[in-house]
Amino acid sequence: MAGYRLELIGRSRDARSFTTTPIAFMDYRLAQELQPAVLRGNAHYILVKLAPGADLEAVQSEIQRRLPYNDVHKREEWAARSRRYWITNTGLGLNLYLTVFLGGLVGIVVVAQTLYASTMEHLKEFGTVKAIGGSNRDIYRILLRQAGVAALVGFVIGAIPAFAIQALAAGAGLQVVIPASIVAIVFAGTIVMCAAAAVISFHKVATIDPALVFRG
Amino acid sequence: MVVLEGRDVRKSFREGRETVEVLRGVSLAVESGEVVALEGPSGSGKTTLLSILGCILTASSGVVTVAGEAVDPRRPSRLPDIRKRSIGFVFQQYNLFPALTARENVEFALNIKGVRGPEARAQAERLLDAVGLADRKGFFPADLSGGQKQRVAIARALTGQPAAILADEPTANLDTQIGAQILDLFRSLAKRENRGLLIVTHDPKVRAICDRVAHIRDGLIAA
Repeated sequence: MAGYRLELIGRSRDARSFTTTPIAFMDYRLAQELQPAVLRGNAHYILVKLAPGADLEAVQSEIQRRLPYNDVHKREEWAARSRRYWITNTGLGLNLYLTVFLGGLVGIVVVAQTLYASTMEHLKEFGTVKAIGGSNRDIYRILLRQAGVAALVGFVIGAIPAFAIQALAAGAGLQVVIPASIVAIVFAGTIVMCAAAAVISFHKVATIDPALVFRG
Repeated sequence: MVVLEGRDVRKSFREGRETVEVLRGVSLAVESGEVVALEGPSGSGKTTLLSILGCILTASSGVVTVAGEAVDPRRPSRLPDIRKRSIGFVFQQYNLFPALTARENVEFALNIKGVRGPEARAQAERLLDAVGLADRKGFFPADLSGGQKQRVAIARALTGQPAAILADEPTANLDTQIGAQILDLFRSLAKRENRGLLIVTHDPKVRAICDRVAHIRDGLIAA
C-alpha cells in the first residue's frame, strides 16, 4: 500500500462504522506516511489502549491536560458522540424518526380499522351484553382485551423479523443492538398504540341501542 | 306480589317530521310465579312494550315498576343496573355468544352481575343442569340444536335470580315438539322459582301454558 508492504496481524471486533466502512488500526507514524497529503503533521483520531490496571479517569485527565486543544473521550462517550452525530448532523435521524412515526401511525390505523370492523361485526353481541345488564365499561373491557391480543400478536410478528435481521446484519459485520429496554419500550408502546386504536370502537359501542337485540 | 308493572305507558318516536305514537296508554302487570303471554299483530307495539318493561327503552309517559322499584325515565343511566338486578331476557334468535361455550355463556352473564370465579362456574353449571343441559356444558352454540341453544338462553336469563323474565318469541325458530318442551320448561321454572314471566308471541301454543293472555292492538291492550 503506497509502496509499503503491510502485514495484517489481527482483526478487531465492534469497530465497524455505521456505514460498515472498514477501519484499519496501525502505527501512528506509519499512517502519516501512508497518507502524507492528509495526515502529515496532523492527527484526526488517536486510539489509546490502557495498560492493565491503569486508572481510566486519571489517564483521560492527564491526556486532556497535555493536549488542551483536543477532545479526549472514553469509549462510551465516544459512542454516544458518534450516535449523536449520525442522528443530528445527517438526515439519518430525521429519516429514522419519520419511519418510526409513520410505522406507529399506520399501526394505529390498521389496528383501529380491524377492531372497528370486528366491533361492527359483533354489534348484536355487544347489544346483548347491554341488554343483560352490562355497562359500557364491561364492553370497553372486552374491547381492551381484544386490543391487547392484537398488540401481543403484532409485537410477536414484528419481533421475529427484527431478530432475524439482527442475525443477518451480524453476518454482514454490522451490529444491530436490540437491548432489553428497547424491547420493553416497544412492547409497552404497542400496547398503548392498540389501546388508542380501540377508542373509535369505544365510541361506537357507547351509542349501541340495546333494543337492537329484538331485531331479527 | 307484582314484579313487573306498566301503568298508562305511552311511547312515541319521531320519524322524520312526524311523531308516531306506538303505545297509547298501556297498562299491564305480571305477578311473581305468573306466566303472561302478550299477543298482537306485527306493529301493534308488543316489542316496544317489552323493551320498556325490560328497561331497555324508557316510556314517553306513564309509570313502570320493576320488582317494586319505580323506573325513572329521566335517568336512563340507571336502566342497566335495574336490568342487571331484576330482569332476564330470552330472545327469538337466542343471542348467545358464539365464541363461548354453553357454560361460559351463562358464566359471562353471572360475571356481568358481579358473580365471579369458581362461584360463577358452579352457578352456571347448576343452571345448565336445571334446564337439562348437564351433558352439553362444554359445547359451543354452533354445535347445539335450536332447542338446546334456547335452553342455554333460559339458563342465562335465570342468572342473578331476576324477579321477571321477558321472552321475545322464544319458540319462533323451533319446531313444534322442541317448542313445546321449551314452553314446559319455561312454565315449570317460572312456577318453581317464583319468577314473573312475560312472553311476547304469535304462537297459539304459548297461550296453553300461560296463566293469562294480554292482547295488544294499535298500541292499546284489548279488553
